[in-house]
Amino acid sequence: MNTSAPPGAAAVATRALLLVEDNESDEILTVRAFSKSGIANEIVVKRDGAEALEYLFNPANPIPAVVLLDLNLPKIDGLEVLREMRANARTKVLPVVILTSSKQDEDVIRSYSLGANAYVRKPVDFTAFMDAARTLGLFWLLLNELPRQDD
Amino acid sequence: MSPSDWFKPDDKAALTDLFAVYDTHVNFAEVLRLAAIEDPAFAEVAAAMRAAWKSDTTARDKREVLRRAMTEGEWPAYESEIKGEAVAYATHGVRDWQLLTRIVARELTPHIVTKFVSEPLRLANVLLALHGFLDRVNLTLGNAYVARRESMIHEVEQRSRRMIESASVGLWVCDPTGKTTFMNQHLANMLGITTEEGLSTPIGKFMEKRDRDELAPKMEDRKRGRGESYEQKYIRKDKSTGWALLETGPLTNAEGKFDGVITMVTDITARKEAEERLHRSEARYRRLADSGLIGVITLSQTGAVLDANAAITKIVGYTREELTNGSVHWPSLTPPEYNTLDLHAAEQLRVTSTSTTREKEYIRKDGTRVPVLVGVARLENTDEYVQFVLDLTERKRAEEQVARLRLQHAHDAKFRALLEAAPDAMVIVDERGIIEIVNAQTENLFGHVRDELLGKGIDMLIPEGLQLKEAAAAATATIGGNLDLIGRRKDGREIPIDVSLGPLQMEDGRVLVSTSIRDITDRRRIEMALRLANHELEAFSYSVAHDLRAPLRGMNGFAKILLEDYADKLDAQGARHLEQICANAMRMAELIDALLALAQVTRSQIHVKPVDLAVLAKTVFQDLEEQRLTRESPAELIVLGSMPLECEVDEALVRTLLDNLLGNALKFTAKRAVSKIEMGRVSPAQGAAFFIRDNGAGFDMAHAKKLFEPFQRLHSAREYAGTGIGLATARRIVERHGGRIWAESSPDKGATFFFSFPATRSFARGKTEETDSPDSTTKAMITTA
Repeated sequence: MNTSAPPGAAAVATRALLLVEDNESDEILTVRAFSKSGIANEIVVKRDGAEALEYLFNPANPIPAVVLLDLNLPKIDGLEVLREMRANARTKVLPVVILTSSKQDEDVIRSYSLGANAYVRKPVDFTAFMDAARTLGLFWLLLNELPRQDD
Repeated sequence: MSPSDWFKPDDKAALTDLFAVYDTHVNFAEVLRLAAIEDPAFAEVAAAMRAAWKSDTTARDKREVLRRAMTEGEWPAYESEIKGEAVAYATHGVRDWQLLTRIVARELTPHIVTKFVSEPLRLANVLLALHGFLDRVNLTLGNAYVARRESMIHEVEQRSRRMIESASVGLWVCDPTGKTTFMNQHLANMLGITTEEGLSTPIGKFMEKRDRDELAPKMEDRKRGRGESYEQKYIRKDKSTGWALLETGPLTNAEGKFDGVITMVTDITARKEAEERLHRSEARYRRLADSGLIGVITLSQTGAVLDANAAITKIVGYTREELTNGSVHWPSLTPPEYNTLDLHAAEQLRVTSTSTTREKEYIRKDGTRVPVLVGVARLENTDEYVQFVLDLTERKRAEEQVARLRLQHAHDAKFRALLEAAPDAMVIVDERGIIEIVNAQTENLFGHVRDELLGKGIDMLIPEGLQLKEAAAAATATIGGNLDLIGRRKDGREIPIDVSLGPLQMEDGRVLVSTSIRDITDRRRIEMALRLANHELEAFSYSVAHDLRAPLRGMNGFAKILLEDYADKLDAQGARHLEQICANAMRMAELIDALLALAQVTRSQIHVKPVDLAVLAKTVFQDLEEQRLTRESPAELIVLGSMPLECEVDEALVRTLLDNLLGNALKFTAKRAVSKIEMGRVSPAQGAAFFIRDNGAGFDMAHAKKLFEPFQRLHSAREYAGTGIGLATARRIVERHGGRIWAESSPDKGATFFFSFPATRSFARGKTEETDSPDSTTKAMITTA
């Protein structure tokens, strides 16, 4: 897949993808979905909100291409993580895709109003889930243009 | 000698002229007749005069000229002069005969003449004036008349003297030195002397010293032509005293020189005594005022308190000083609702000097009100008012007691029984909130026995929030529907209560307020529990949405991985088992979604607006058709009737309702050659419900009850897929609108689902009756939608 990516996307295509997910099964399934879809980017996994923020705000770590954020998280929940990211210059414009089990109206509305870039419900059916992961990877890692970040 | 011989021929013309004037305006002969009743001499003169001018035809033109001059020319200019003179004339006598003739001509109407004749003094003056007139006649006519004139004057004087003597008013005449020259019998009688004694005794003898000293200065005044009128004490010969009104003026002789004083004396002893009695009664009133029984207050026209007695201070609670030094504005002690009454009384007072007594209230210094009876009178000839105030507090209390007793006894047993049978505490109060009737439930609810409540204010039970006046004013409607208030029990415990107020028209015309009070402690508890439950449900559904799905995804995902990655190690049986795991996980996810949707229906707010069900149903039907996986059989939705299926509902919820019902219809008709779905409205007589009918599998009515319960299915999942939540959701949507849903069917004969929304919603635009004539009503409904 990488080889067929357009030249301008190369920089993004090499950057890591941050998955914030506390459920081990979901983590395994998500990682498998991405790899089965031919997405070779490194997938950094953080298992609660605090860990995720610590990773993102540490200047030693490279900024990921996209954050896949669950809402129901231990310690700091997903919406709070999103709020803090948007308040921080380093992660202010970093694309965040909410990837969660719920499609409650209030969750969707709150996510977008806090600055989420997309909201995707994880399908229970694994086949559908695979499709979703592939589409996400293709879009955010290959098609989407990110703002320049110099730090 | 014939009277016509009294006049010389030359004089006749002048006389004719003179009398022409009189004849024009009044009948002078009549004047003379009245002035000298039964005096043949005057009658003779009059007749002669008349004869004289009537016989002279040449005088007619002159007479006409004079008449015009008097009536149309100069006369008005004299008028005011004459009127003023007439007054002076009445008091002092008039010597100006020309003026007199004018007065006689113009002013002495028979009425006036009659009046003059009835008053002896004035008659005397008339006669004196005539005397002067005759003098003038004499000058004109010459000596021929003199002898006769002397006798006439004598007659006149005799007559006037007789009248003066017999007058009911005292008459005293003195010369310029003050010596009595005349005293009539009446005055002599007043003084207890004879008229002879009157002539010989100085008038000062009959006065107190102080008044005697005034005689000389008064004489000077008379000399200057000034008259006056005053009251004076007089002393009778027997030393007893009386009071007289003296009307006095100067007399002048024929040459116009001061000739003495004439005084008219009216005995006013009786009036003075009456005044004295009045004074004594005032003293009595003063004692009444001081007794403390009745409040007495003297007010100026502007309402300033000039005086107030002790009782007033007791009634209104202000000190005398506070009332009189202006720190209290008396009118402002009257509550505003009595303003109209007070204005009415003030008007009455202005016109009649008194006002009828009325009941009102004053606001005491401590802010409480005191019922009073008030009467006001204006003090004569002043701008002061005296107001009597009687404290009615005790009387009112007694009246209320009586009224209450009467009310208690008068009310028929039915009303009582009804009251006692009421499930709620019933408290009947008057407009001020005073409790008149309570039932047994009131005793139970508040812990008071009846006697502790009657006659007390309802604020004892409900400290605040009641608007009784409004309730009493609303003569028919029950107002304040349900008021959530706090009630206070005898033991001090506060209880949540629901109160409704309504006016209660009594037989005696009064309007009471019936207060129905319900203890809502239990309801509150349930509401609280419900809130808690809702809150828990909220948390539960959130957790369901998030946490229950993840494991299912795990189950499904790993089973799929097994199928993919280990396909070569699994036999067909193993693969089928794994597929069953996947399918079960999926089914559970569906159930969870359906449950969430059901919870959503329960929790969401309802926003009603006009919706055309036919239009909405067609949209939903199209969506369902597109989603239908197996479209082997054609399906159609037919809307029956020409009318739009209009109602006021929450569109999002009703969309879900139609989605469920039409989805069901499609599902259960899938095995038919054609899925035929009909939608319409049953006639209003049958309850104005909507229906959706299909030609599908139907069901046995024996199981109809289960139909709308969650997770109850009448078909196996193998026959027809489904969660068993759809109709439960449908029922909840209809019930949230306050409506009803039911179904009719038999196996293989299709099913009909009916649902209704309350009339207020489905015909909220005022179209209460559905008509079958298509166009007009249809149009109206579309335009208002």
